[in-house]
Amino acid sequence: MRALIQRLWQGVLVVAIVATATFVLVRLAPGDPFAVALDNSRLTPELRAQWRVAYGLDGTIGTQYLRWIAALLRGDLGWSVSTGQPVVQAIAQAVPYTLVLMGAALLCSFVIGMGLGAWQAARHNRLPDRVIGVVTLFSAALPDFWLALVVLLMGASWFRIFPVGGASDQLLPLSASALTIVADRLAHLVLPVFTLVLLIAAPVARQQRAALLDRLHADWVRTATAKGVAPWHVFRRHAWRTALGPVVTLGGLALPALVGGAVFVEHVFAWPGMGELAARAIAARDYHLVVGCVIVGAVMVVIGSTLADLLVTRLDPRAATADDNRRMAGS
Amino acid sequence: MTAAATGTGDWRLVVQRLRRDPRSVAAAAVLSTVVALVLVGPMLSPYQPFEQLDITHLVHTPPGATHLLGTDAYSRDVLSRVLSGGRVSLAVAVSAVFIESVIGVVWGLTAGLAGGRLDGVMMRCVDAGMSVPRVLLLLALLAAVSQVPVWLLVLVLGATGWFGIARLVRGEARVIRSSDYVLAARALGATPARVALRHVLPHVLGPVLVWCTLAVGQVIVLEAGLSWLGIGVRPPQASWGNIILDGTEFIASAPWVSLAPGFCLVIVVLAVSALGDGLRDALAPRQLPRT
Amino acid sequence: MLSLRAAATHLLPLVILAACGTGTDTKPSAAADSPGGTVVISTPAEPDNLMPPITTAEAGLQVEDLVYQHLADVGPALNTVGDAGFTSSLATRWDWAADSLSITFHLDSAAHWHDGAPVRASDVAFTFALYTDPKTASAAATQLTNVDSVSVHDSLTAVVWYKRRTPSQFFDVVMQIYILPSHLLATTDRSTLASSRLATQPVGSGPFRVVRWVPAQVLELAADTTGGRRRAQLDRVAFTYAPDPVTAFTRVAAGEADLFEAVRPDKVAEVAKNPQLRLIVAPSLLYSYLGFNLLDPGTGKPHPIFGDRNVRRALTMATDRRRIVANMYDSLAVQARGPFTSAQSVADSALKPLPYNVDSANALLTSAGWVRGPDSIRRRNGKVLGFGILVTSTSVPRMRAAVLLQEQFRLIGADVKIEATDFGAWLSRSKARTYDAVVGQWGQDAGPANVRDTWMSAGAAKGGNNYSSYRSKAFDAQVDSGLAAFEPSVMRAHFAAAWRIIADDAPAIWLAEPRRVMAVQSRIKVTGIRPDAWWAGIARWQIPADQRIARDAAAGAAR
Repeated sequence: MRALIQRLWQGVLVVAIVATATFVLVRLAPGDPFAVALDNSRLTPELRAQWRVAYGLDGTIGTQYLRWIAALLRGDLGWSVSTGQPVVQAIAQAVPYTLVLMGAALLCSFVIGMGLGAWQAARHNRLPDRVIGVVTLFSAALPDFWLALVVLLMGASWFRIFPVGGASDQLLPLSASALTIVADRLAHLVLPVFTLVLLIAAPVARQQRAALLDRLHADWVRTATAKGVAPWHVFRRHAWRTALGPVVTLGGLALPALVGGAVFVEHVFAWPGMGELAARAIAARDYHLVVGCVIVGAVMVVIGSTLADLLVTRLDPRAATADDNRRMAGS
Repeated sequence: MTAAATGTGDWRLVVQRLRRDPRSVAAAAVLSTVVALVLVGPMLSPYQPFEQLDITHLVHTPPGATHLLGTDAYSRDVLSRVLSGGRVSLAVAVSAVFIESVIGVVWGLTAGLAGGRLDGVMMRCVDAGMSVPRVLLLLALLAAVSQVPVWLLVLVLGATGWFGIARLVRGEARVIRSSDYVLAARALGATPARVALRHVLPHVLGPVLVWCTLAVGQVIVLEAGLSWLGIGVRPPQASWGNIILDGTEFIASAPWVSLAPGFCLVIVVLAVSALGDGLRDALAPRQLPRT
Repeated sequence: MLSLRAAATHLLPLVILAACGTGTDTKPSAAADSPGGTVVISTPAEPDNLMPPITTAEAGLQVEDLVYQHLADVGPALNTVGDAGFTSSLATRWDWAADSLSITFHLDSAAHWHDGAPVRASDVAFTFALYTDPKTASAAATQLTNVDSVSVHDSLTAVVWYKRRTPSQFFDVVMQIYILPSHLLATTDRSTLASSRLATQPVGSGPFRVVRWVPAQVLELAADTTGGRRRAQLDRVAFTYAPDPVTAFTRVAAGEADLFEAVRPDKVAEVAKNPQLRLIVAPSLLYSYLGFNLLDPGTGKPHPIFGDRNVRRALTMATDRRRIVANMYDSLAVQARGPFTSAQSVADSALKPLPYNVDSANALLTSAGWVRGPDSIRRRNGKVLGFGILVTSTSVPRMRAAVLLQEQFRLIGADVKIEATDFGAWLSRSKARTYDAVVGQWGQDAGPANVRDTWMSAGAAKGGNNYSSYRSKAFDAQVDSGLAAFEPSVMRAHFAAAWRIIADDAPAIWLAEPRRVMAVQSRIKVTGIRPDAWWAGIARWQIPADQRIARDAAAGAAR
């Protein structure tokens, strides 16, 4: 428990540092917070200066930072110029969509990836292993922007099986039944989730396979086998459990995407999530929105790494250090 | 655990093992062919990679006798561009992946083996580094250098790409450091660096090699993915990534533009992966001899 | 791709004719077609707000034009002198004072806000006060400096008083402002209009009211049917947003949406093949150019290369602009001849651009002291004829132009580097003048006044919009005289002279006037496409009852 609280404090510190760094970085970038609105020959420098004052973006970076901290203490992350709403509201709207998309995609990817990896390890160097190995390399090597577009065009334009992007049919009549609505939502999920699984499952499968092979040939597994323990039991009880380490770490690394989203996939599939929101914020130099998105991402990174550490320790007690063990005992 | 073959004297042994592995030999042959092609090819190719042959009549010519891989939206010969773009892409990929794996492995080993407070601080640094979007760093860099050259891009890619490796290595190192042979080595007075390199490194090589294999392909694409910031390879110079990126827009009407470099990319990734597997087996001979 | 090109070129004369025809042959013909139907517009660009005084982006203007009303609307010929060609909107008629220093507007007595309140003359007076209040910081205020005051004669009569008589005094007032509801905005803080409730849920007097706006997904409008005025022929208009233009187009191609407004040339064949779709090609008010920075970015003195008029002319003549434009847009654009577009009333169709002549270009450069070295690159006093082209990477045609120009400059011995950046960095460098040459594009108002900001001395200072810092007293004088002329023919003569001066000075290489290329579902009868606003006639668009599909019927009941 003490360990967890300590991690929590460290996490808060990490988020604070990241937020401050982002606050500075985004202002260093060449550009103007009203970039989207400014492609207009009638806008004078005076007007821009006036707009800066109106949105609290005037003054030195120090005064802006203090103003921002003061607002933050009231739970206010500022005004998003490019979306025309408070940052908190913009993020609150996007997060549920990203949770659904990435939740489905990560779940499928890890289940499929781990399954494939385990199957490969069990059929080591035989045909299934070879074929899956090539396929996963293929899908991991494909550029995400290219893959997303090809999947969209194939599924929605050439074969017209699935809708062309979006999270739901916005023009469904009010009278639509619950079943229609659920079916509509699911139909919109298929293509982006499929794209993401192609991209994410491959590294999971490869790490799983490598780790399992590594463990299967470790001395103590061999010893167990030699002692006459059933191979399936060895696999499940000894190898599988400890071989989850790298996969769990990958899971921790992937967790931020659960809320951070996937920029290219959301962009191409018009998915109204965090990835697209953050990309749009950076392109528009929407300072407050950028910082808001990065804070949300940093929180998820911290949670992801903490969970991964806890889980790895659970799965393989050897991973716990002496002082970790003491803390665990105390918890 | 047979002696890990990482001492300098053992390298000959590793090469010998690699030579005996048909898969590694094939992969090396493919890679050398690709490298030879991109080094020599531009001298043999019939057109200059930037040459616009006829911007109104030879745009998006399908593959044929005069243009083996067709032409692009500027009427440039795709084959010539793929050959000349390979140099940049391979150089970028190899150097960026090298940088990120070295930093990641050193960082992860140090944190994992040290444990305690140092581990905590180092891993929180990784958390922080992962949280700042790379695009923001590059944009801020643009304020100082209005055009970021390729070598600087490689440095940035390497310096911001190692967080995942560090976490993987650190996770594995934490497991291994309490194994009997590490404890034994320590008890025998081995220095921490020796323990890390001789006893722990060979064991974390698996996840690192898997990561690097995939990273080679991703970096090649990422180089182009950042071109909208004006970073990296400048037009009209070709790279596999920017040929794919430019061609993606025309995936329906002129698919050959993005498919040709995409094919090269996949070939390289497959070969690197095969070689990586071979290397891992050669370094850790306790695995099945036939792996 | 040969087949694509052939299809496109054969098809275009037809579709352009079709577009011209739509203005006349699909007038609301018979009562047989009852109002109804839905038009779904698929677009990548979402508005940042719907508060007219502070809206500058076209995505916002499209919606505001349907929700709010001008006092009167400009005609399809885009005349801006006097009131010729203007059609009634919120004002049914207007009277000029004998000295032209005031205009009395008589409002439509049936006009009402979407919340039911009637539109009153006091709303007009309030709106002027709001637009011109410095706290509002409206970009339109610069166009309204000639208005002295607005007085309320009676509840339906407002009088606009001018300081001076000017040719565009009517246009400036009626087209720059949308009349806003005073009863909903009277107490709103004018310095934070963007965060007011009306910025996301506007209440106007136009043909459509906003039903809902789900950010990043949809903005749905429904026909306002409560009043005594003629209602829109459609039941609803919905904008669905997809940030990637390919996705936005694919929605129309797959039948999920009805209209996409910016079809790229490589998709034209696909539209032509699709029996459900029609291609509409209309003029636009955009022109693109390669602007030379006439000042050295470092010192602010004349630019070492582009300070020389002969070099600029040589570089212009070295470029095959006709074919560059053809590569960028196929046949969906015409070559631009100056800082104006053909659709504007001040366009000069007789103006001949500098010819494409590589020999003259080479000779001119050599005589200007730029001599080819052994590496075939030109140098003068040891300094290389080298420069950067600043371009936004996010615009496909502009990026294309940069690479095409770079190659053509290479052939005459110039060493050109392309500096691609995202839009934010592009804009800040353009405004700070820290570049050599820039690929830019300006969208014009219907009137000619934009040129004052973009190419006259007034906008030349840093931060202004004359990115090239082009200063010509002769050009300024002709434009000023043109803007002051009351006789359209005199106005055109002055502008023709001005365009000749700037074409000769070559502060920029004029590239393309891209056309507006729209893909529309063929069941929709499109009418009244205006060059400055293709959406201006949406209230009169029709969907014949026998051709309506499922989503046409679902109006008023969307989730």
